[in-house]
Amino acid sequence: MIALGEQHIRDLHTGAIFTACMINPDWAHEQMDRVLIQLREGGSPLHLCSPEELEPEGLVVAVGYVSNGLPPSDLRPVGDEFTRSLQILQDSLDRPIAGVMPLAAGGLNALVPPLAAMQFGVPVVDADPMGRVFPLVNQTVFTLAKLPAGPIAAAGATGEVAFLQVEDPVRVDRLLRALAGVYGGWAATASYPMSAETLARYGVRKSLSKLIAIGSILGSNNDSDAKYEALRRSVGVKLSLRARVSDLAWFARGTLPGQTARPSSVALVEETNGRIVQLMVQNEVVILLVDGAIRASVPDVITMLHAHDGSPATIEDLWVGNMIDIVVMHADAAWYSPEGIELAGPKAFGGLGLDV
Amino acid sequence: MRIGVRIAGDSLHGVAVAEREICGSVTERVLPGPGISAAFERTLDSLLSGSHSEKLPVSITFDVSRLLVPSELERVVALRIAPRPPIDAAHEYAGETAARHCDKVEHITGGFTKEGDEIAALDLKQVRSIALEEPPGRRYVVTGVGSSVNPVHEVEASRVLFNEAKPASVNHSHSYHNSSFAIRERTAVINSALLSSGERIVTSLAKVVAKHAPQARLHVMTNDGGAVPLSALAVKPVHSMLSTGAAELVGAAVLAGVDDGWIVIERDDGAVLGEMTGGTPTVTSRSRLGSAELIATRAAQLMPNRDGLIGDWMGVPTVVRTGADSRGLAADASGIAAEVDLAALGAACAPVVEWLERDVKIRSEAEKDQVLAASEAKVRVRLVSNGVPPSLVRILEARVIGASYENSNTVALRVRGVGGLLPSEMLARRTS
Repeated sequence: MIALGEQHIRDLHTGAIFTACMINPDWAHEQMDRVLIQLREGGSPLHLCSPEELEPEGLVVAVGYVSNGLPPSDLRPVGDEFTRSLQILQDSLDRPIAGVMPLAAGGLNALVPPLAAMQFGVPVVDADPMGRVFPLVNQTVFTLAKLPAGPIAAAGATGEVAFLQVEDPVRVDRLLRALAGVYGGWAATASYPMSAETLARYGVRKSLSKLIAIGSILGSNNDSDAKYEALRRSVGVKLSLRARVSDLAWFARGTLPGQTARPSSVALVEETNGRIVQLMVQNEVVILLVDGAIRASVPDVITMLHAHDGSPATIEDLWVGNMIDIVVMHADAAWYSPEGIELAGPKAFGGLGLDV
Repeated sequence: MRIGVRIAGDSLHGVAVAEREICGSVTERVLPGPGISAAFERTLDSLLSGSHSEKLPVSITFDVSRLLVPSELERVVALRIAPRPPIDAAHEYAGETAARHCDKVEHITGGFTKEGDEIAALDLKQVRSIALEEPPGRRYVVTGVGSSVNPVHEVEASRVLFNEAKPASVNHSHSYHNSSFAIRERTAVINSALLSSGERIVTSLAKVVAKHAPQARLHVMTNDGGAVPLSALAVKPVHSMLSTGAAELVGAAVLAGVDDGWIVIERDDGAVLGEMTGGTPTVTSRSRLGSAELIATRAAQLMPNRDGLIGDWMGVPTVVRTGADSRGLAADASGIAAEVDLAALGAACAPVVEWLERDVKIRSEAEKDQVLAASEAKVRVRLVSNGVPPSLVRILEARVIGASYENSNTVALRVRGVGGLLPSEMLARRTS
């Protein structure tokens, strides 16, 4: 168990933005600010532990935003949402919560557990259900292991809170998405209640410490070459290429049921040899094509860095003319099983118009 | 004739361009007392009495970012419209800027969803009681949840403030496009703090122009390297607070004849790297001054040119030297020595710019095409009404993009139009 300090949180923020390739990094930045203020002024310690460091029967819960509408940067959390969800889940299960983990290891949700943990007085557990960010609540390694996602508690910025007796992860996503819409944009959820022993067996391990390690590399003052080399050594890079944004398009096509947004496409021109690069974006960057051939696709982590300094770039940076480095990394091994590919591979993302 | 004027704290630099030549360049000291007006009057006299004096000035563009100083005296009352108020300091926090410039934050019940539906009804009684409590002459910033899609609550609250608070100003945050409540509010707060400064500059410059060149069209440089009518400085000065770097980049591009490519500007105080694309600076949607917080203004992307920043993939950037550097190293064939003030030249040659950014609800390809065509037409009309000949209007970007994890039918629309010649068309002979 390690005590998390301000630098850990800043590194976690950088790593979380990088792996999620967020549309707007400010969502995570504001969450980081809240964590830092709570660290300085809240007086509660903040610890990161492995599942094994908890009692085997200790209850661990995933916390995270489920969105459908305004982001938490617009409809700002009041501050009691996650504690209310955790309290209701704890009361209904009649077991004390021993730790919280992120619903996803990336983006805004990677920064939710530190604040919720301090507010609730429990440690953050260094594991998660995805090992990256997927758009749907049911796209987890727990679904692959046939573990239930519920029961679930979900609170809104409006002050309302719902307790859902639901187990099927697919239904969980549909119900939460509907609630998020009614709440105005997001639901602060507590889900996937399980013992530390179960988490240790099925969860994606060390996902937060990996984000902190990535953040410490990318947030350093080294030049971009040194950062890329350190990234290759630390987490492995499957593919990287440098390209300039040449076009952005939005497909007015519907997606599969349960998918939360219609897809967009970004066309780029590779800097070294002029090949046409295309990124298909549907909440996350889903597919990377080079000259029409798929070079990487989910569950690979496809993300971006600023070409000039190796700092994390986001969808917000995809302006025509801008130069970015596209970086592809492997996801957790569980995602490359046939079941994993079916749940979170390219076919799970409808509306892209690709025969994959 | 196009005149560009950069006004710094203690000096004023003017450059005139006519018939594809730099036909005048002046530097005046700004003396205490008569101040900027007198220095500008002398500059205008000098530029208009040159060899092209028979040509009436067609446009004068000012770069005034160094003059724009946020007022520390006029602190802002921030009204935050949301379904519920925050429970603690960590959730109250909206950034250092708001903390520094707002002496009061009031929470009002209200707000809209991304679809534009009301989440909570606006509590106008709360707004009225604030309006009656505050002394007259205060500056207000009103920010509502979901206002980028539906600004009605912001507008309603402002109406009450205008009617009952006798305010010096009321800024709506929905005027600034961003999906972050805090960034919209912060931008409006900084804008409020700059209003006095902006209003004073507009008045003093317009008086001088009315006397010496009443026919001239007046513009002010914006952070993206474009120009907008000077009157905008009294309304949205925040979009001009970072303009000098962008103006220098445009000036360097004009001098070097670069429409597309990387440019290094070597100054006495260090070098910066920027890029031109399609005749305009590459911009970012949000920007900051130094280590300050992000604000919602489109600004030229300029980076200190530290070791290792220029990669092989960039090709060979054009180097333009200015200040003392330009005099000593003019013989270096790899660079261009700027003999005039780059920002003033950039201001003289900057294209008129117009942006349209908003969230829109569309449900089909046909609707998308319709919205884009209508938005593009709006940008064209605005540019023409700001004095750009229709044949010189260029739409650099017109597109929509889906918003992740948000409503599938709400998309972000962005149109960028400019009017004017390309940098390479501005001068017939280059300084070398």
